[in-house]
Amino acid sequence: MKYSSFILAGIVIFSTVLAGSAQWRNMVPRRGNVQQTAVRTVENVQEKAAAVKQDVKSVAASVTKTAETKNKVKAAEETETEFPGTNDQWKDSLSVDWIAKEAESHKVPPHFNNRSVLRGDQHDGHAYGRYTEADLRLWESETVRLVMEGSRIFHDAELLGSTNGVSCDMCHPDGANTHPETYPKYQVQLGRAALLRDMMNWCLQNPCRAEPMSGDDPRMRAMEAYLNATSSGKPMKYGKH
Amino acid sequence: MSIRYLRENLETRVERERNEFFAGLVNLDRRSFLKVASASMTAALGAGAVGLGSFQPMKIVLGEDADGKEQSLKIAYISDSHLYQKHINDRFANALLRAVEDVNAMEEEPDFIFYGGDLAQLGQPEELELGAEILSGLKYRDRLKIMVGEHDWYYDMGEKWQSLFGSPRWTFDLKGVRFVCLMSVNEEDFWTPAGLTPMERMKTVAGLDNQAQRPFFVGDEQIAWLEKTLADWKDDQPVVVFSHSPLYKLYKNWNFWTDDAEKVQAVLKRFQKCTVIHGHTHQVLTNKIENIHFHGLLSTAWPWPYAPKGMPEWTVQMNRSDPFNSADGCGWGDIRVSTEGLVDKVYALWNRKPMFVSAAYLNEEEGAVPPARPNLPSF
Ligand code: HEC
Ligand SMILES: [Fe+2]
Ligand SMILES: [Fe+2]
Repeated sequence: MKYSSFILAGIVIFSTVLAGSAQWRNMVPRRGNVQQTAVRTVENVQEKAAAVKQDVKSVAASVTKTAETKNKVKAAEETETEFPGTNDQWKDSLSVDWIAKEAESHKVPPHFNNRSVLRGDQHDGHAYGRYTEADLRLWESETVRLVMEGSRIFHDAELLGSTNGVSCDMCHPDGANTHPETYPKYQVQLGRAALLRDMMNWCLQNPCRAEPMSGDDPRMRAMEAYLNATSSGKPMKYGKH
Repeated sequence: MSIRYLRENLETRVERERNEFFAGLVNLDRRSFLKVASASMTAALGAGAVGLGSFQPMKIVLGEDADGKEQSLKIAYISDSHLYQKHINDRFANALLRAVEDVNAMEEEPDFIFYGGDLAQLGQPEELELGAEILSGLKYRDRLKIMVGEHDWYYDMGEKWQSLFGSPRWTFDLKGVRFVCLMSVNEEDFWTPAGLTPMERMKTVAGLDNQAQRPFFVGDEQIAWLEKTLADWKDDQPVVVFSHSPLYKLYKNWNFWTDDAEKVQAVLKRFQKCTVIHGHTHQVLTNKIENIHFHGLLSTAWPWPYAPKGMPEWTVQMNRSDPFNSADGCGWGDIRVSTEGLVDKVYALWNRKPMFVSAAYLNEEEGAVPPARPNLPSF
């Protein structure tokens, strides 16, 4: 009894000493160390919040760019609210209301259930042994958010920058017939081996008469996430026509 | 026609070139050109030639009586044009114009012309007016019968549409066939509890995959009306029913669905020659439930993918459409009611060979020719 509390105290002191080293902190098996898990989760959330803020900026930037090309730029101070709804939901990064609302309208296959990675004891000392319920929740909520953001854009002519009112869902309900699992593949009409985003851009420019998006446009990333999610469970067959 | 080629683009250029081509035929008036073209096109089709360009006249002769004289009744159809206001989208307006021209160029005069619903995209008065204007370019515009679609209805709950076209349900008899049109795109009120504006309600219904809406239904009152309308019609007299949504349950997520379909089918079951013609699905779609035959209509605006499940095995699917050609998978067609009162259906796909679905095929008659299978799967 006494011995074990002695050892425990020793471990606590030992880890406190080394707590400064981020590298060490990452290597400590987190099973059972609730406090540290909590700290990490909070840090994680903060990190994510920062990343989301970054995203907000880039979403705003790309939207502004599209608007510019359409000669629609209003006064500089108005740009932030020019496309209400694009930025608003990201401002409070922890609010999930809009996700629930989007999910009510547009169904997406469920996120993969990762519970198997929680069986940590056989992995003691390994990275995969360290995951907790909180990690799983974080992975899922972040991924689903990206996917639902894609769904929102896919279904909205204005967010797509469409100049003829046409949005992707009009021809691809539930993402049907987009076949992300068949990419890359050669498209004769494009004259090259195309990535999913190349076909997305084709459909943006032609059926929707919108400006093409750069590969790392946050809207493009989100729509790619949505299309991949809707084809969940289909075997990958690159090159298939 | 007053509205023409609103802006030059990929599709309008094709339209213009085609028009210039016609205009340039000095020695041939348009009608005789069509006859010549029809013959040569048929030969080309027989040889399996593809890429016929934008124009493809066709003539398929069916339902001849014992003397070889045609007795049948012929209906030209156009459907699902989904018009926006013209300053927003000229593509869909041009597609409807093209269908109107094709119907006007038919060699045989149709007994009537049927419009299958979804004339407008967002139920705006301007959209419906534009549609009415373009349809007034039909040579036989006085023979136009028009059905309502959900895109026409849910902005003002049918007010504008009804002021232009009258009641969404109607019936008449022609050459011994009873025609009945139902308003099948009713939805339970989901908008009042959610506090939606008319535009929000419209946009929710306009989203095919939008799960915030409710399934379509015909309704008990209307089913009673249908029963009454058919009460004096004998079991062996032919009936053709029009409804925007398919009067059966195909795929609920996309409202390829009528919630009380079984009740309607129960009323129709006693008729030996009964055909349901529906819009909404924008594709070649064929079904048979007991003795009732079902046919879909093509859209002039865009084709839908086939439902991921629930596909009737009677359907020979049309080729998957080409995203590089905005007319592909779209078109118009005709409906021929034969002397026996059965329907043969032609899908006049603009960019492909026409597809022909005969009553004989659905009745599994000996020697009946099934619809030609496209050489590519629909995916
Ligand atoms: C007017 C109809 C229409 C609209 C609107 C439309 N597409 Fe398409 N798209 C098509 C058709 C038709 C195909 C070909 C489908 C097939 O191959 O079965 C296609 C193909 C694709 C493909 C490639 C599919 C494959 O099998 O290789 C992707 C990806 C795609 N679209 C994405 C989009 C996105 C993203 C949007 C919105 C910006 C969009 N589409 C809007 C008609 C449309
Ligand atoms: Fe439609
Ligand atoms: Fe419809």
